[in-house]
Amino acid sequence: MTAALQTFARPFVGNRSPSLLLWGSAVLVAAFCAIPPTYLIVRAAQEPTTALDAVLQSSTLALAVRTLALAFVVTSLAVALALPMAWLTMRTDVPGRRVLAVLAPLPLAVPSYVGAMVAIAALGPRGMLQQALEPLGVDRLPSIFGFWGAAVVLALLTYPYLLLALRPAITSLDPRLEELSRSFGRGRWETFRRVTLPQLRPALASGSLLVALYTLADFGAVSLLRFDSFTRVIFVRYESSFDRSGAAALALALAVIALSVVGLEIWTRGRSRYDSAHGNVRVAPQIALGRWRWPAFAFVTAVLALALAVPVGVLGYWLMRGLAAGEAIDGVWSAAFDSALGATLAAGAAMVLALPVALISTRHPRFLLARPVEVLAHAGFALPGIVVALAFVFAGINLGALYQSLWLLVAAYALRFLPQAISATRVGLLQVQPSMEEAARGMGRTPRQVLATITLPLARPGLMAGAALVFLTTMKELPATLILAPIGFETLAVRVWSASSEAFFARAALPALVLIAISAVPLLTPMFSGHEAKR
Amino acid sequence: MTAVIAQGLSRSFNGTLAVDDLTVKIEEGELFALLGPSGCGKTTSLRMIAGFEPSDTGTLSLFGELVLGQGTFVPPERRGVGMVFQDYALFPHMTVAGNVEYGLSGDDDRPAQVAEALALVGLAGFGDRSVHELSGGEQQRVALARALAPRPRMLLLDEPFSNLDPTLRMRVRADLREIVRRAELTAILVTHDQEEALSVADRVAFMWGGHIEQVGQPDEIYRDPLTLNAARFIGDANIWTVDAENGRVRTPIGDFDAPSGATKCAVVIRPEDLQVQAGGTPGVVIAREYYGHDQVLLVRLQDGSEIRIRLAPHERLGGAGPIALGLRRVPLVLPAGG
Repeated sequence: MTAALQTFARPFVGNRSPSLLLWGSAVLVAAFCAIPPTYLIVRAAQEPTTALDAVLQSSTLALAVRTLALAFVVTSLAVALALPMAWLTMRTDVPGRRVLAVLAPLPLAVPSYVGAMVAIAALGPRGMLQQALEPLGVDRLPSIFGFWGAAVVLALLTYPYLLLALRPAITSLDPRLEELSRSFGRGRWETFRRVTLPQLRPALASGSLLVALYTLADFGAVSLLRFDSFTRVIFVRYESSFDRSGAAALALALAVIALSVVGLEIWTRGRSRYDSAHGNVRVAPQIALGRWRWPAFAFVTAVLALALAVPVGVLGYWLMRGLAAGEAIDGVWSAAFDSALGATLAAGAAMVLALPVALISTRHPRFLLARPVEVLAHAGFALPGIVVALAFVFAGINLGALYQSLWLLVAAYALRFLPQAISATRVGLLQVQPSMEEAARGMGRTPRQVLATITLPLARPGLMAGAALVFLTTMKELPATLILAPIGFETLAVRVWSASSEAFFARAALPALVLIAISAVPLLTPMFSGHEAKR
Repeated sequence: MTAVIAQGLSRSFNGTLAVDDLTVKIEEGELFALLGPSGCGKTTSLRMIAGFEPSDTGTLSLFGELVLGQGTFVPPERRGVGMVFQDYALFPHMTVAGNVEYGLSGDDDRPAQVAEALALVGLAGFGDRSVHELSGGEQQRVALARALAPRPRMLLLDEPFSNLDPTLRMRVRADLREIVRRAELTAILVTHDQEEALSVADRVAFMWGGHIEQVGQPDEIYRDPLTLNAARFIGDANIWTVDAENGRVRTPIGDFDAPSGATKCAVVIRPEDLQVQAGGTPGVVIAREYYGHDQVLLVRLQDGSEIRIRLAPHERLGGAGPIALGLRRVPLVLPAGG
C-alpha cells in the first residue's frame, strides 16, 4: 500500500510547468466558474439597501437555522441508511446480496420532487392511504408537510451518494487489519468501531458533504412539502415580487452557507485525505450473519421498498388511473427527448471543461495557479442550482443572443455539475500510473500523443462514470431548468413539476416514470452496481 | 564516443537534496550500474538522464549533445533512450505487439520490427497475447522488447529484476547482458542489489547520499572500496572503528598501517580474507551459517568482539569449539571521518 502511494506521490513527467494550451484552458474554465458569484455580488451591490434589508431581516437568520437543521438531519438519516446498506451488500452473506447491491444506488434516479409528490399522493390529505382507511373511520392522518416529511423524503433519496462513496472504501479495506484486531482479542463490534469505521471516515465525510449540499440546494421536495428553506424563499421572491436584488442577496447568503459546509468538511477531513484503492491483494472474506441474515435482509428491502418500489408503484397506479380517465399522454416523448438532449450536452460540456482542471490538479499540482483554478472550478459545488440560474439570468441580460437559449441552460448545468465531472476525471487520471506515461514519452511520443493514446484510454472508466453522473443529475435538475429553459424547451422535470405542484398526479405520473427509467440506465452499469472491483 | 557526461547535476525535492553534485562519464557500449541503498539518488539520476526530471544545477550531455542545463531541456521523446521500469509499466489496454509497436514511428516495416524485438527477448509468437496473461518474467521481457524496438542509443533500466523470483532473476540477468552485448547498446542499470550490479555490469558506480563515492570495475569496487560506506554496503565485512596511534591502528586480529593523516580509522576485513591458521588469533566458534556453496562461522575473539569468517563448505565441520584465525591478505584501512 505505501509503495503504491509513494509511486503516486512521485512528480509526473518532467515535473515542469504545464503547456500554455493546458493552463490557458484551465484558467478559462476557472474564469467561467467565477461568473455566478461575481454577478450576484454586482447585482446585490446595485441596490445595497434592499439587499442588506433582505439579508438582515430577523427572518433570514431563522431561515438559515431551519435550512441548516434540515441539512443536518437529512445527512444523519442518510448515514444511518447508507452505512449498513453498503456494509451488508458488500461484505456479508445477506440473502440476494448481488441483486440488492445493484438496486441499492437506484433511488438516485428518483428526483426529490417526484419523491415528495409520491409522498403527498400516498400519505397526504385525501391520499391513497387515507382513502384506504376511510371505511375504518380514519379521516385524518398526521401531516406529512413540513420539516420531518421533507427530511425523510430527502434522506431516502440521497443516501445513495453516501453509499457510492462508501463502497469503494469498503472494498479497499485491508482485511489483515481486521484480522489483526480480532487476533488481539477484540470482538467483531469493537473491531468495526475501532478499526474499520475510522478507515471509512474520509468516505463518510465526502459522502455526507454531497448529501448536505444536495439538501441545501434542493428546491423540489421542500417546495412541494411546504417547508420554507432558502431555495423556496429565494424562488418565491424572484417569481412574485421581482425583487431581484433581494433574491440575489439571499442567493449570496445561501452560497456562503454552502461554502461554509464545504469548509467544515475540509477542516474535519484534516490530513487524512483519501485512500488509494491500490495494493490490496486479497479480497476481504464474506461475513456470515448467522441469525441476523433475515433481519438484515428485511432492513435492506424495507429501505429499497420505501425509496424505490413505493414511488414506482404509486406512479404506476396514478398512470393507470389517468389512462382510464382519458388523461392525454402526448408531449411526454418530446419532453423525454429534450431532457436527454440537455443532459447529454451537459455531460459532454462538463467533461470537456473538467479535463484541463483535472489534468492540472493531478499532473501539475505544484503549478502556481493549480490551487486557485481548482477552487474556482468547484464553485458550482457550493452554488445551488437556483443561485447559478439567477446569476445566469442577470448575466444573460448582457449576453444578447445567448439569453433564453439552450446554450445558456447547458452552460448553467455544466457549471453546476462540473465538480462531479472533475472528481471522477481526477480518480480516473490518478489510476494511470506515472510510469505508463513516462514509458510512452521515452518511446518518442509527445505529451499530447501520450494523452490521447495512453492516459485517456486508461482513464476511461473514471471519465465514463463522471459523464454518467452529470447526465443523471442533469436529468433530474429542476430550479435552473425552470428559470433558464428557452421557450419551447420543456424537460420531463418541468412537466412533472408543473403537474404535481397543482396536484395533477395522474398527469405527472408518466413523465416521472420515464424520467426515472432514463436516469436509472447509467446506474445499472457496472461502475455503479458494486461489481467494479474485478480486475 | 562518450555516451553520458554528467557534470555537477543536483536535484532537490521539498528542500531535501536527492542528487548532490553528480558527475560521471559513461562510455558508449558500456553496461554501467548505479548501485546504492534506497534513497541514495540513483533513480532520480536515471530519471534525469531519461528526461523525466529536470535538474537544479549542472549539465548533462548524451552522445555529445547537451540535453540538460544551461537553459536547455530536451524532452524525453527526443533523447533516443529506451527505459525499462521497475513495475514494467506495460500498457494494459494493448496487446504485447501493441506495446512493442507503440514506440515505432512512421513508415518502417512495423510488424517485422515487432517480431524481431520479440524474438530478441525469446518471446516470438507472443504478439497477440494480452499483457494480463503473461507471467512476471514474460512481462519483464516484453518491457525490454518494447524499449529495444525503436533501436535506442541507450537503454535505462530501473531495478528491472526486483519483481522476479531469485532463480528467474539470475537467468533474465544473463539474458539481458547477452542482449545488450549483441545490440551493442549503452545500458545503465539502477539497482540496490550489489550482487546484481557486480555480476552484470562492466563498471559500477556506488552512490551514497546523492553523489557517487566510487566508480570502478566490479572487482575493484568489491576488493578496494574507497569509503567506509562502500565497504559496508557492498558485500559482507568485519569492520573495526579505531583511533590511529603513531600511524598504526590496533585490532584484535593484528596491528596495521593507518592512512597518512587519518586519526579515526576503519579496518575492513572481508570474511573470505580470513582463514583457519594454527597459531593464529585464538577464538571460539559460536554459530555457523551454512550456505551450500560456502559457510560462515561466527567467532568470538578473546576481547569479546565477534568476527565472521567464510570457509569452503567442507572445511572444519566440527561446529562450536576453539579456533585460531589468520589473514589471507592485508586488510583495508580506511579513514572513518570524525
